[in-house]
Amino acid sequence: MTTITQPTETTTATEMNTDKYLVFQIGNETYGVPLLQVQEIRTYTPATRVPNAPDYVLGVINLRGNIIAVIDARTRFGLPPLPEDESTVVVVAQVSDKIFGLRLDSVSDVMDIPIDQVQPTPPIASEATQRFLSGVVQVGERVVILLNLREIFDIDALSSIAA
Amino acid sequence: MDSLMQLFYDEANEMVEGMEQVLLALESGEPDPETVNALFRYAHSFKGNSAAMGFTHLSKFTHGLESAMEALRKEQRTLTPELATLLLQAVDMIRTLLERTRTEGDVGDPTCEPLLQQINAVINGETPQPVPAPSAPMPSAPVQTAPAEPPTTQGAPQYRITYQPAPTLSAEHDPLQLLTELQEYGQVIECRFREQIPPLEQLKTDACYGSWELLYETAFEPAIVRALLELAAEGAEVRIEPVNAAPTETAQPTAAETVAAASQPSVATPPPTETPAAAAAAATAAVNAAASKGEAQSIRVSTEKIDALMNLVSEIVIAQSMLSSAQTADTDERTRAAITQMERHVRDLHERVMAIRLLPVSYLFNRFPRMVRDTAAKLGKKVNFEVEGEETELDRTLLEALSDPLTHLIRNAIDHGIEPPDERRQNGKPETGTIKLSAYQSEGRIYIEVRDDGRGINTERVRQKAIQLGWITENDHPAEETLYDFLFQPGFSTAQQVSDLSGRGVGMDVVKRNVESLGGSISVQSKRGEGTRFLLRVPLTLAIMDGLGLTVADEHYIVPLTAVVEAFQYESLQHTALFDQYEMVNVRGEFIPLVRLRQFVGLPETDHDGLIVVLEQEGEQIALLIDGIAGQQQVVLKSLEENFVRVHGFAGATILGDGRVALILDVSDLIRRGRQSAERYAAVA
Repeated sequence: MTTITQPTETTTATEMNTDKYLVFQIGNETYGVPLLQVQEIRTYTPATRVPNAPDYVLGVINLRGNIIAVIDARTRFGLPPLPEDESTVVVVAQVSDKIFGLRLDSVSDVMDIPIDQVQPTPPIASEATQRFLSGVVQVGERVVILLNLREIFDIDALSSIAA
Repeated sequence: MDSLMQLFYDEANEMVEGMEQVLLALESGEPDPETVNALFRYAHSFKGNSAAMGFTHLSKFTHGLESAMEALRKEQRTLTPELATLLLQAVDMIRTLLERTRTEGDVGDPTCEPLLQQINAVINGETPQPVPAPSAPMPSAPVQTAPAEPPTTQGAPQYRITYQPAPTLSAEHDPLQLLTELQEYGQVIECRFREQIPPLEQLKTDACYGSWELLYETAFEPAIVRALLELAAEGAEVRIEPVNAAPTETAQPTAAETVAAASQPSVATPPPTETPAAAAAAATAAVNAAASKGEAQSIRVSTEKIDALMNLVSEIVIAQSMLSSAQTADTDERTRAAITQMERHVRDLHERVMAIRLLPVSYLFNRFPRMVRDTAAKLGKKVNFEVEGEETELDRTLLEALSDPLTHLIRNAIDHGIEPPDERRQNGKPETGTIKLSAYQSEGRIYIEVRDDGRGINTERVRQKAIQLGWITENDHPAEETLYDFLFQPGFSTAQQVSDLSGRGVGMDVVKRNVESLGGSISVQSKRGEGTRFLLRVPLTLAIMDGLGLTVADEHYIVPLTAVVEAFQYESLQHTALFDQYEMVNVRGEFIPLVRLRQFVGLPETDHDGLIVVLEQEGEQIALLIDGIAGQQQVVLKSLEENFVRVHGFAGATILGDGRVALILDVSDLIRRGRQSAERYAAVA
């Protein structure tokens, strides 16, 4: 019985080990976030500034009656922000029980990422940005840097914004 | 049927169903001690609610039932099937009594007492006797029957009513509405308006100097008229004098004097000439009418459905404003007309959907004055009951859920908090105690406060009781907060005797449980000899208010309109500052701390002139310097915390008609800032 089932198990294992990721470009690099955490992708609408919030919080927007914060990915990674154009999008994602938006220059693709080939990020980035990354993976020609949305939103650090 | 009655019946029906379900669940499973507790709590709440409505028979019966449950709980007896059957009969009895209050008024049923006796007998281990079924909901006791009888005014007694609104005429005071209401219960024959306007230098801009004098003809008791006037116009001075010696003045003094009677003409005292047969027929007609009317008047819809609807409507509003702004000079006339028309309908739809869920807290608060009066009278205490912030609008579900906790808290305040008049006098306090119920919005939450100026919580007695219950040992001296926490534990009560008002140690744990089930919290502060304050915080799922839009630079903020006192052009002459920091504005001789909105929201200052908006909360004022006013609008308060974090200085956010988000300023925070500045000013000056 074991000899018969073994090959099948191996096949399922490899199949199960790919996850769908939403990938996009920031600067020259390709980044990915788990598609499961992504609720929707919207065109960018100007956010209402929240006084005394950190600079990477662009403000709050209305998502079908709910107020959500929008975080600028470039500012968060310490890059100069780009002016918005037609390809600017907001990726609406859910971490824990909170929903937030991540402003990106554009989104490019949905990709199958082989999870067991993900490697820990080499300590190249500064410590501050290192925690936003959950690993790197080579898919064909491309190197995809996987992002940790929880750390990017980091609701605990914001906890309450004193005016 | 008015909203208060409807609420009572809605709740009552839910509770009856709840009791039944609990009992029926027993038959199919293991009895568990929580069942008895649940039944106990139902009976307790029922008793409170019906007492508040003035339904004495219902309240008496549920009190008996509660005592039985208490015995059962103490004995740790399990619910036997025969007891369950009896309890189900008791539930039927509650239903019967409820139906009677609806159709006949506050009448009892002769089988109430035997049923209670039997339940008690079974609990005490005696053999049960068969109980007669509750008599049919037909007038069985003609003496007590109150058939439907529209108020006849023909030849009815006349009264001279003087009505002087409270000196500060607040927004919810509506003399016109009062007159309209009076018209429903009788005939206003004459209405004279009198004014006593003082000389200009003594004139206060926010005071009311008018009064009304009415000649009023009604078949109702003067007490009912008084209740009606007092309900509609709290704090008003009302004088009622019979014009021709009216014999009705002394007839049936108590039963007819209820709020229920005042708001429901059908339970009026019958004219003695009516024959029993006619009375019976009329009563039957009333039953049928009430039944069919009750069905048509309201349906219950889950709030989730309304939420979804509400969000959808918000999206339509936004789409609509996009459509409107897409119009150009070339748009043809028909399209234009259609857009304009749709705009109007969408606004209507928006308002109506919002209104479905929201009710002013007065809807709930209005039921308390009577309860306070009755309870205080029963306990021989003098209580002045004050209400503040009744206009705060709250989600209906929240309101309903807050009813029980507040009933308990207020009753406790009268029973345990306020001292008897002698004791108060001895302690150098005014004989009349004060209980203040207030509601307000702050930092994205709704706060409801029950404050009394009574004796405060005796922490030593709480500690002794906790020792007695084995929760702590003789050597433990827990912190004050821990002791207060004990009050909310099941089974804790410091009352020395069990009254039908409170003191069974059930109220406070129900309060806590109910408030927490709303995602809220409750805290207590107390000072020996000075009073106790319970603060309930409930989350703001959805609340609506009238807002004033303020602008600085290209940003748009909202303040609640209720906080706005006035607005005027800022002139540097009014301005005074110390060290260029602690700024005050002179408003007609009064110095008000100045807060600059630009500074508050982290924008650079400008040198051009702005506007001053004076904001007030709880008697404190600040002057807010802004660039301009964007107009008045209704706003739906949204939580920033739900998907983001709390932002200090802001009560929440709202979505404007064009889909943009605007932050709502927290007036209490602005005032706090103003106060700090004022204090520093005073300290340095």
